[in-house]
Amino acid sequence: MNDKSIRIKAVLSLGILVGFGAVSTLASWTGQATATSSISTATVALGVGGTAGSASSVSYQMPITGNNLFPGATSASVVVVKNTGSISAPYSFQGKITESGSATLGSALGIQVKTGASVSGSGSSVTCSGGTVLMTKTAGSKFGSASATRPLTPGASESLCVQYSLPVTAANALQGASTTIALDFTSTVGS
Amino acid sequence: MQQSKVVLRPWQRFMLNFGAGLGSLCLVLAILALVLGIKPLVFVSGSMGPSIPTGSLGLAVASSVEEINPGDVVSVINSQEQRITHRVVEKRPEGLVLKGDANTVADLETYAVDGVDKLLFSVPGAGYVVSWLSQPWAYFIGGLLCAYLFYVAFLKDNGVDGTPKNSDEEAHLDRIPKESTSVGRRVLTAVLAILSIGLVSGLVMQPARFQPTQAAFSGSAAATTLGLKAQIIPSVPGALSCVTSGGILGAATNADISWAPVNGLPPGAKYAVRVESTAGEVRYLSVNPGTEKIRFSGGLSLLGLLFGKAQRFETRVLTTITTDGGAVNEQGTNIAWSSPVSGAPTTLIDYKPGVVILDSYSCPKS
Repeated sequence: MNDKSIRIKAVLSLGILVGFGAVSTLASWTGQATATSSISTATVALGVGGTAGSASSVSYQMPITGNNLFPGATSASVVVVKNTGSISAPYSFQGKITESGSATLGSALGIQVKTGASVSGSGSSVTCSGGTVLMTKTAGSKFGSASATRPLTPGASESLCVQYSLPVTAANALQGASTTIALDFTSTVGS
Repeated sequence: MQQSKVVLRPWQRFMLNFGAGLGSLCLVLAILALVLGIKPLVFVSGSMGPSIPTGSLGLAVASSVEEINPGDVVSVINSQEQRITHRVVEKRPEGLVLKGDANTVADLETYAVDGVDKLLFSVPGAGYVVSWLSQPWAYFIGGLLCAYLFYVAFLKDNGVDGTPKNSDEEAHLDRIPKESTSVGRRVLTAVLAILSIGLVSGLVMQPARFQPTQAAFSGSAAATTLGLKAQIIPSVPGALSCVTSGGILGAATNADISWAPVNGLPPGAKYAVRVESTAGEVRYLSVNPGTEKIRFSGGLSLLGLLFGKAQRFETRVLTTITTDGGAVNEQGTNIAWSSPVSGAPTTLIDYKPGVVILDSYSCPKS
């Protein structure tokens, strides 16, 4: 080993620092103090229910406020979604229709999902009043894409009001039909 | 040997070789990463478990979306600028649908990306090593190592003045280790060097920009409204009554049809009296709930079409909901819902156009 090779080797060893440097400049690490802290075993979970206190189950059947629908009638139901995981995780929801039989009542319904709304009215005119609309499905069409994500800290919950309306143009064949409307909630860490 | 110019002890030589080897690998991999688009990924969450647990290190190569098939594991950047590595479930025109193996549902976001990083393979646990070595103290140790090697190479030799470059010097340097080291120690040094390079393969990945990837756990829950139902509009119960009145010379000028009120009619519902001629023409007359009767008499202009000649026509009373909330129109085109025609109470009316003065009606005995 001569002087030259020793010195070349010493210079090459600087490559280690280049390696470290490449890591430290990664945009993906922004805001994360150390790499180890980003490897976590956190849990992400959602619960749903009628009230914040009971929203611990992963499935819930929403009671319907209001009569059976006829053209021009509206009814509503309420669901509370709660972050039952250990870390803050935004959630989003998607609507889903499961028709019973051949009549497409679910498709014919106009559906609105609101937050901060209260159920008002009675009989054939029960609505979600006030609040902010998070999702709208127009009568005759399918549900669109999932709602925008909404933040939910651990233990926090949000109450959603779902309003169903059957337009006056509903087909005669829908009489007596029934359908199942589902809201599928999903929370994903980091998105 | 301390007094000779550049004389290294075995462990110093080992450190130098180690540093040079590691540094070269770092440089080569950094270049490869830049040229070929190879990215090491550290899985910081476990949604791809159990096949790719938390703390795995994966190697991904840039690919175009066309080359990706459902079932491949790909890494993308989501709308929140976070890296997600999940399995492709579906290729849609609007983007890729991905799902973590451990998740029950697909990701909410459909990833509209041109290029993805396709995972080639992953090594469980290796991500922890890489992550561990990327902490500040690791930089510090790396810096110390470099500094020491520079000291050994450039400063420890006080006579860096061009004179040492001769064959005597080289011979001398070659001789020193042979004198001071047994064959066993040399072998040990070599083995240690090889082992060390193997042990730090995780560290070696660093120059190639290893990236934390949120395999992203998902939680899900569902709320359903089971049995959301539409009503059946109640039908008119019982039979229709038909009573004639008025007129002269035994020919009645009015026929009054009446029926029993219907319980539970939705607000805004209307009765539709359906009149069908023998020729099959149909007209409707609208009656508001609460009235439950209708009079056929001369002057019902809408029925002119039907009643041009003497005939027996059929009346039925339906319950309806109109599309505009108003009265049922003659043609019945604004009827949204109606009770079934076939089951509706019915009666027949005989009609004779007025020969001399007035039209006449009669209710035929059934």
